[in-house]
Amino acid sequence: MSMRIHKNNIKMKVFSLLLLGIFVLTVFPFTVMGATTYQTTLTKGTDIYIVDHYDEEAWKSTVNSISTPNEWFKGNASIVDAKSKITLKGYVFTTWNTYDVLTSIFMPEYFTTQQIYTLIGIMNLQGYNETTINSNYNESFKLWYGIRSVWNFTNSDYEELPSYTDGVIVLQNPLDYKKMLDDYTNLSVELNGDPFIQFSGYSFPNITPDQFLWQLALNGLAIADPQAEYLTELINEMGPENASATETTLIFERYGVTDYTVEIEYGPKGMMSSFLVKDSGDTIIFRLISTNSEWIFFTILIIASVSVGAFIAYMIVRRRKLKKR
Amino acid sequence: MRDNNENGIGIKPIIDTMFFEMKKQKKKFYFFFIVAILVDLLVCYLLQLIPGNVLSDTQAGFFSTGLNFISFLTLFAACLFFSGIICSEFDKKTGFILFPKINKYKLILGKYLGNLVLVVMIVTIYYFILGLFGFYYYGGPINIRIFYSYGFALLYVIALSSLVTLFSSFLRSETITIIISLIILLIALNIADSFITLFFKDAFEPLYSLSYLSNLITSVLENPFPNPRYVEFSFGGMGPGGFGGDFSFGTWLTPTIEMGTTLLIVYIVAFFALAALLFKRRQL
Repeated sequence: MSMRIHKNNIKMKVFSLLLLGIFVLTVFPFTVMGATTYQTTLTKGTDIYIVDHYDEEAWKSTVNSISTPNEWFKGNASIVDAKSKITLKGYVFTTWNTYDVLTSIFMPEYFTTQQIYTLIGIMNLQGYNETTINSNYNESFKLWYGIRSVWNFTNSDYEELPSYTDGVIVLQNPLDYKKMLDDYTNLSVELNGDPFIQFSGYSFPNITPDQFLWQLALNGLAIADPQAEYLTELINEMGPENASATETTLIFERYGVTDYTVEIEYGPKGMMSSFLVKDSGDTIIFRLISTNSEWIFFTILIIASVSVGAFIAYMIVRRRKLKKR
Repeated sequence: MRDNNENGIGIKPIIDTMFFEMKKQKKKFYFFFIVAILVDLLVCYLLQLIPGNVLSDTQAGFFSTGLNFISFLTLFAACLFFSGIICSEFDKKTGFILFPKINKYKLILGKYLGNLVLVVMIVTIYYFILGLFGFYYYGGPINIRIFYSYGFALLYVIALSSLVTLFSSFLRSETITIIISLIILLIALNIADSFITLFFKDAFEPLYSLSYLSNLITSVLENPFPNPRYVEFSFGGMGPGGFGGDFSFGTWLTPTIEMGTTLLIVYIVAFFALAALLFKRRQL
């Protein structure tokens, strides 16, 4: 009898230690890592963006008299209830060099694909190939590169196939965005100074921190966790004149016809969850909100699991009753 | 009414046999039910936990990937559930009873329906979980073509079950029926398909093959439907200096929807008719 009690005590102790171990392993590393290292929260799945509010007159009198939100968002985003769908298909952890940053982030923003090919050819001829650029600007950037399918804004049903597929990047260290811009600024001065590139009619534009941030924000900037600290560090390091961060929201003070504000909020997955354009009097001009179907999935899953559980319980009870008879 | 039932007339004996058979086969059912759920979880959830394992562009593409295992699952389920339908009656000598309390055709029909309900439930849970994960990753609405695919999967299961029932009507034991069915459906037909494609290329479509007809389950998800349905890959001049000879490899992707549906129905009717004939002869 006492032997059995002793064995049970040992079992209880082992079980308690196991529980404590699981608790320590799951909670402690995250609290330690959270302060020093950023972690991605990218998750495979689909987010739907809906034009919740659009005041065309206010847009024309505040943002731009000849453009619409279609300038920022592909498809037909200038209709209330228009929808866009973005599916994150997967992501990899990778390292980029300055050449990758130049050809993947900066050049596509200012040159067409054809121009990029021509320009890369000219740069190669002038000795600015991948090897030399990466040896002169030897920064490396660790990042999560996500692949996403995008369905443009539409007020009818989505097409079967996505409108296009592109990448979304999350730098592991938010301070690296500043290094990227600094590298680009120095390299563009060097390239613009080359007589052959000048003669060919190409010129690399000078990009301010505000412009770079705006470009990133519109092209699917995603952020890592903890998100508030990530955005704060990004803004503090870049030092833009007209952009700031509050919690998980990036705020741009912009000027079109008159002053207006753009607020981009980031959700738990680290991607844009809402996009808001306000005039100087805080009146909403344009608002995008995001939603997804995950809650429906979990509701169905819970209902199905409960049903299966109830069925199994019923079967067990029934069998016991039959045995008793 | 009671007299009718006792004489084996009416639908009640079929329903009773059906439920009895379902209870008898419940262990097999639990096994396949769990396998179906596990395969679904592996394909739709566990593999997707790997961030670098990229999802398909579309929901239909996701369903198509997830359905790669359905033909294996249905094939094994059909062989194990339907193999004993007729031959077990003779193996256990119950098929020779002269004064049965139930009409033997109704007994076989009840047994067949009982097993069919179980296999259909297995296929349904597979599609349900796949659809649920498709909804999770891609949002709504669910692509309508998964219902067409489900329809073809059911038709394929019925065709498989009718073929196994046919084997069961003239083979001696359940084990032999399982082995012969698996060899024919899993190996022989695929070898025959390869030879036919190798020798006849695009001149002869392997419409005789149930495994070829099962391609409709996934190809119906594609938009547009595969056209051309016969594709050939050529590898030529890969040796030094462009030498090395030409090699081409052709394959039939899928039957047309109309032809596939018609043939599956024809096979179902023909296999059942033959099975009934052989069963009648065997009793005499």
